Amino acid sequence: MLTQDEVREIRRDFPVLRKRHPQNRKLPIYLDNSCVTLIPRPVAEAVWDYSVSHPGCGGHRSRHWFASATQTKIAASRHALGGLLGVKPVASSDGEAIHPVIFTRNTTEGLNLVANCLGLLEGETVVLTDKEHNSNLCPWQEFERRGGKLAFIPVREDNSFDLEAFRVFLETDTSTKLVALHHSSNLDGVEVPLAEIIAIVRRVEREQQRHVFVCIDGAQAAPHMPLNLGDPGRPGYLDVDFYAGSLHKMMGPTGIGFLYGRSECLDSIRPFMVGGSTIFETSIRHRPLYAEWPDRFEAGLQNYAGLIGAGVAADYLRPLLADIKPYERHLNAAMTEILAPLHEKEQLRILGPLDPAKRGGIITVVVPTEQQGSAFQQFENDAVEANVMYRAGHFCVDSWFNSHSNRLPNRYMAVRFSLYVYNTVSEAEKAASLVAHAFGGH
Amino acid sequence: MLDMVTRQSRLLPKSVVDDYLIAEGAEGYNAFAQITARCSQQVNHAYAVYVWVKSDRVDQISYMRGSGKFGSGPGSDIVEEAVANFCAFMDGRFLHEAEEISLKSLMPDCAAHRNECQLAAAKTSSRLYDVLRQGGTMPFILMNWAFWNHKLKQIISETVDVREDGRITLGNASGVERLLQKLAVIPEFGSQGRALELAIRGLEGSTVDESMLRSAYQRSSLETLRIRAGTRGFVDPFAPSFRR
Repeated sequence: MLTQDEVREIRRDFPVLRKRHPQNRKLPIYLDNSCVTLIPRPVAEAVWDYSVSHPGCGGHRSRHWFASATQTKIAASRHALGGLLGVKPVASSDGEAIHPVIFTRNTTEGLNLVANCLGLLEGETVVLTDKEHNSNLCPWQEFERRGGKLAFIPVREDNSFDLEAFRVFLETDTSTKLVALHHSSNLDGVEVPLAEIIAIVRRVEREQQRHVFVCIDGAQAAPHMPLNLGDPGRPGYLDVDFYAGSLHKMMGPTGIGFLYGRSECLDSIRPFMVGGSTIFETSIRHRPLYAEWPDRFEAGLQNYAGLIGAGVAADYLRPLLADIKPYERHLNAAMTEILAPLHEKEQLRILGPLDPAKRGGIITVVVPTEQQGSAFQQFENDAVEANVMYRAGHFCVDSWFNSHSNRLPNRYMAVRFSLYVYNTVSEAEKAASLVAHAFGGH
Repeated sequence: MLDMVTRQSRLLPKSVVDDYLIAEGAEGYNAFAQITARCSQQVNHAYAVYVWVKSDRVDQISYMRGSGKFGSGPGSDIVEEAVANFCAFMDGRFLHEAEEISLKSLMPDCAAHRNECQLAAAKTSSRLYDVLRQGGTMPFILMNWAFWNHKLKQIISETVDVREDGRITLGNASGVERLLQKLAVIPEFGSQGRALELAIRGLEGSTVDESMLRSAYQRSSLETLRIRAGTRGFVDPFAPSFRR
C-alpha cells in the first residue's frame, strides 16, 4: 500500500493542493473526488501546450502541421486510454491499430449513446438496480417512454447488489435485452460483483440461445482500479459490451469522457450525434453514409486540448491504479473508525456496509436535520473554516433516496466525502472529526 | 472523413467515364459496396460500386472514388483503374459470377474492352496485366460484397416490411428475431454473432446501404476475400492498410 511519503510525493504534482483559501489561508482538503478529481501538473501542461503550440483541429481535416500534431496526440490519447482500460486494439482502415474507445463528453453521453443507438424495441426489458445515477437511469426511462420495460433489482439492506435476485430474474424474464448497471456506486462506494453478474448473463445467453447486452456505468470504478476489458486470457477480464467513464474523475480535464465498445458492437450500431467527421459521404439526394468508428461517434469539432490532456491523465494514472483502491480503503477505515460510534448511536447513518473495505473511497453519512438543523449549520461552517471540500445533497441518485425514504429521517442531509490517491490520512481524519464534532457532540 | 474529390477518373477517357461512373450518387441501384483503404501517401481512399441488377444480371454498373483531402497517388490510381475494369467485366454478367473472377478470366475480356474503349492508360496488355494484378484485390472484394448486398436485400424484403424507397420497418422484437434466424444460417452473416443482432436492430427506418449491417458482413468477410483474391492471381500491395 502507498505510504504517506509516497502520497506526499504524488501531491507535489497537484499545484492546486498548495492554493490557500482566499480568506482564511487554509490549505484545501479536497474530498469531492467522486465529482471531479484534481488535475496533475503534466495534464495541465498538456492542455496549455496544445493552446500555445499547435492549436489546430484533428480528424484529418486540415493539412497543416498544427492539425497533424494535434491528430498525432489525439491518437496517442486514445492509445493511452485504451491501455488504461485493458482494451485490445484492432486494425483500422488507415492501417493503424486503434482501440475501440470513443471519446465522449462524459459518462452520461456514453450511456445516452448506447441507449439511443442499440436499437432496443418496444416490449424489451432493460435491467437496472434501484441505485443508479441519473445518467444510468434517465436514458432508460426515455426508452420506457418509447414502449420499453425497465426492471429494477432492489439492492439489499446494506445497499449491496442482490446477485440471487438478479439471477432469478434473468433466468425467467426472456424479454431482457440489456443489463445496464453501475460498476461502483457514487452514493456509497459499493461495488457490484461485476464478474459474477457477467458470468450469469453469458450463461443465460448460452442456455437460452439469445443475446443479452451488458452496458456498464464505470464512472466511479475506472478511476480507482485496473480494468481488463479486452483480454480473456488475463485475470480480471470483464466481458462487457459497453463501458462508459469520465476523465474528469480520472485526473483529466472536464468535458472528456469515454465509451468502450466491443469492436464488433461499435461496427454494428448506428451513430448518435451526426455531422462533421462522422460521415463517409453525403449528398442532398440520399441519406449520409457514415464512417467507421471512432469517427462515426465523434461528431463535430472536438475538445482537442481536453482530449490531449485526457491521454496524459491516462498515462499518469496507469502506474498508480493498482495502489489506489487499497489506499482509499485505508483512508476510509480511518474515517469510519471516527464515525462508526455515531452510526451505532444513531446520531448519523453511514450509507452502505459499515465495513469500510466494502465502500472503496466513499463515505456518505445521512444526518437528521429536524432537531439538529443547527448541528448541520455548525458542520458547514466548520468545514468552510477548515477548507474541507465535500458534497451534500442527493448526488444524482435521487431515485434511491426517494424509494428508501421510509428508512431515512423525515428531514435529513446526506454528506459525502470521496477520497483519492492524493488525500492523506490526516485529511481524512480531519473531515471525520468535523462531522463527529457537529453531530456527536465531541 | 473522406471528401469525394474524385468523381471522374483522371486516367480514363471520357467515353469510359460516361459508361462506368455514375454522376451524383448513383440513383437506381440495388446492389452496393464500399471500401476504405490507405493505398497511397498517408491518406485514405474510398471506392464504391453501384449496380443495378435485373433478373440476377448486372444491368448497369458504376463506381465512385473518394480520396482523403487532396489525396491521390499512384497506388490509389491503380486501384481505381482496376475497379473500372472490373465494372466493365461484370457488365451484363450474373452478379454471382463475382465469386469466380480471376486474373486469368479477367484479362482477355478487359483487353478486348480496352481496345473497344481505347483506354488511354492501358496502352499495352502488360500494363493492363500489372494494373489488374496489383489493383485487383479491392474490386474483387467490392464485387463480392455487392453480390451479398443484393442477396441481403432479397432476404430482408421477403422477411419484413420494406418500403419502395428501401426503408425497412422491423416493427418489434419478432421482426428482429425472424431476420436473425434467416441470416444466422448464412456463414457471412452468422459469424457476426451478437453484432449481427445489433446490426439488424439498426435497420429500423433505414436502408440496407445506409445500415451498419452492411459494414458488419464486410468486416467479417474481408480477410477471407483477401485470401481468395490471392488464390485468384491478385496480389495485394495494400494488404495491411484496409479493413472494410
